[in-house]
Amino acid sequence: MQRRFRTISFAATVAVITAAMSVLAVAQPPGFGAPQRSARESAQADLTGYWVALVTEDWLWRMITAPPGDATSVPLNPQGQAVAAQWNPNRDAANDAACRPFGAAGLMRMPLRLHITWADDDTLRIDTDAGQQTRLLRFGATGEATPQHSWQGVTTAQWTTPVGGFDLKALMRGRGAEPPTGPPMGSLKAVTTNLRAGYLRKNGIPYSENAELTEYFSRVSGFGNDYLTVLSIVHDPMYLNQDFVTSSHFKREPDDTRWRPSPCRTAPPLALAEDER
Amino acid sequence: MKRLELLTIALLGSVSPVHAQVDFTGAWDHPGIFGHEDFNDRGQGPEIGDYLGLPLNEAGMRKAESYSGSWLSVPEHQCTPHPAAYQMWGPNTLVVTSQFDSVRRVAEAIRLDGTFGLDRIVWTDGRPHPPAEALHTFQGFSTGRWEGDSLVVETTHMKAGWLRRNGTPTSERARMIEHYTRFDDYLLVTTIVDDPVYFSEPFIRTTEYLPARRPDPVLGDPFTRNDGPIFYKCFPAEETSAGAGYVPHYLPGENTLLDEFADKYAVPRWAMAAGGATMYPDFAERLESVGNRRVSADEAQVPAREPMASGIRSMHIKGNVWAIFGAGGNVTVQIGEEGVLVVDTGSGESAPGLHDEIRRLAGNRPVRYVLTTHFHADHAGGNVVIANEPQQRAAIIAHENVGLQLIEAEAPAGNLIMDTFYGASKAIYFNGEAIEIIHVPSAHTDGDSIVFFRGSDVVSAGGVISTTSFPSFEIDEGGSVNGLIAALNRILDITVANERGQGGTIVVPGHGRLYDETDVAEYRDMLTIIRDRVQASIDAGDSLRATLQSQPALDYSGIYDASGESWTTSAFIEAIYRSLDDAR
Repeated sequence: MQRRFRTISFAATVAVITAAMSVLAVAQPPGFGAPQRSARESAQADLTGYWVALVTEDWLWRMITAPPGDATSVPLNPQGQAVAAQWNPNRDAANDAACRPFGAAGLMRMPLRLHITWADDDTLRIDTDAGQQTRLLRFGATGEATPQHSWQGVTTAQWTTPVGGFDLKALMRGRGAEPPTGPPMGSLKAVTTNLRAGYLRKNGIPYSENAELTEYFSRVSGFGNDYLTVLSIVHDPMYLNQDFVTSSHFKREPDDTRWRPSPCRTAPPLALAEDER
Repeated sequence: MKRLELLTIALLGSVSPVHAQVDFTGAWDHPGIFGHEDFNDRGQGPEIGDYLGLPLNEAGMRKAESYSGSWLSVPEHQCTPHPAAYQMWGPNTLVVTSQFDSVRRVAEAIRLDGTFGLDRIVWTDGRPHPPAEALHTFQGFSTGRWEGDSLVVETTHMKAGWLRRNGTPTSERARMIEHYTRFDDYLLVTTIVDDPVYFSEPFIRTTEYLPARRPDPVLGDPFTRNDGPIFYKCFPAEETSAGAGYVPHYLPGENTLLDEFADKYAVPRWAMAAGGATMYPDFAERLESVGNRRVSADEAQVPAREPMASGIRSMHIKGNVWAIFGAGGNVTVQIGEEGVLVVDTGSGESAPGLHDEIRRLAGNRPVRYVLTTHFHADHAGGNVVIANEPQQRAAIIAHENVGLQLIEAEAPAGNLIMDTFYGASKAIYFNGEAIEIIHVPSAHTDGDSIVFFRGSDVVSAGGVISTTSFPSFEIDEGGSVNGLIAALNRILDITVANERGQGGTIVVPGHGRLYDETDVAEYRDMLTIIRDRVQASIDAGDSLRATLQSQPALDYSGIYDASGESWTTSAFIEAIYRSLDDAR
């Protein structure tokens, strides 16, 4: 009986230690105990460079301007539908609101190019050619007590490290898990608030200034191409009856050859003469 | 006790760093069930003409524009599941589970099950992909590896399928890479498809899932009548009064649905046909400013098919039947207690190697029968060697025209005594199964036979099918395009698919990879569609030159053009033209 108890207690101890070490291994970033590294130094994915949107989804709502009130796929609530029905791009332009489709919650679905750079060691900057918008993804505190609402809002960012398993040998030597070899394979999580009310789509599908945008930026590759994927979740109880979830993808471009900045502008819905069809 | 402690420590100490194997097992649904992107793809299906945002080249565009929705009423296509390249985009529930090796008790694969026929296995145990001759399926063959937090899945051996449910095609040469990545509660599936036949560049889309709220999701095909649910496994039904062999499609320029789409969305026709350019932001400008900035789909520049492995090699098909590749034409071998039956014997030069391979498979069991599907030297060239058993020479069976043509060609096999037949078929019973030798007149030649192994459920197609070239026939040898189509339909009379339009009866072609019923139907569709296009040209009074210039085989050249060999696409079109012209 005593032997059995000892056996059980030993196994339980091993299990508890193992679990604790696992938690430590997961919780601590590589280099635990070392001086705090900047976001740039601890980057879990290299997102910098020029990227072009590949509009392979929702083409009829992204590449061209859909007719007024067409909110196909968007979980608009009745209030949102009412606002969408009042869309008037000319009025937006006259009211200094031509950039409404280029606000953060709709920006990544627009047909455009991105230029991602490090503004400083803890701020990732995203510029767009179409709409000429600039997003700042800040790691850590934003430093602004009561920021103004803006098209791009205020974004806090964090790297999500690969969850990984645990390396008992390393843990028994007093270290965390060895960082994996090869390029970092994590992703970037960004949460944006303080938005100015804008559009989820060019044809006036609205989000409110209370909307919260959560995004996950990640890199993948295939068949010789390098891609950036962005999973976007828009939480806006004012106009949506559930979170609006989309994912967009961009292909890396080697340089700025195709970078053509243009101001915020919404083309009217297509209406062609018969002979153009 | 000490031993247990030491063992426990040893086991834990030996644990290697696990490379971020995130758990995404469980049931997943698109947000809001139907998702928030491309609703048409999850609902009623996109309209004919919506080829926007897809990197289709000219060949892909031609194939898409010829698609008729009635294609799904063709018996061989009725049970087609959503193919792998489309699956995650459709309206589906996804259930992910781990699959364990039942003996070693280690994870060997991840299963992806779902609605609309999703039943993929992603092998994670390091096994290689099958050889080029292996059967293709709608889900393909997938292997997985971890990269950081992502499961990266590579898929090959997919059947011809689609990107959208409106006929936008993917070919059997397509390959796919997927990344399954978990972000908090979300699972993001990034699908990248490369198809050298129909795409001008790889295609990418991303699909998101949330944990399913419905417990125990129903994945099967619901089929309920007034008296409750009944067992349902999809088999073709009589959906139309169209005759056997009817292949619905639109001839170039006759698809009026394209205009309907253009009118409905005010998208110009040239934009609908612009292919890969429509994916890029610059296209928005072109839409606003037409004129000389119109674009069209990229020209199809298809790299040559990767050559199959060299050397003589064999593969077990089903039951008593094996296929042997690399000896000239494909060889089908049935092995049993009574001995060995061989369908076709490859080329004369390969005969010693083929003989060795048969010995390897069959041991000392002698070859009793040689069935010759047609007289060509890459199929009958080894008859002398293979039939030459020391004690009793094997009996050679063929349609009588084969015998005449072998003599006329002064082939060595023509000197052998043959057991010929002149009727529609001949049947023998050997190694416990009935074997039918069925004459298909005026097809590849005028002596062709196909061989049906009833018990093993395998058809040897001889010269009627070559998966590495357009169907070939020589008018001078008695072949014809309509005879070839009739022969393919005859094979389809025999074959029965197992589940979801695939598997079941296996067909060994004269050259190339294994087929099943769906593959034969695709091949038949291809030949019928091209025949119809050439016939339309002839009816319009077009010359052969004009017919060739209209590229009636454009959408299939990337799969079947045997560039560098005599049976080119032009030779194929010319043969069809002459075959139809002669028949007038």
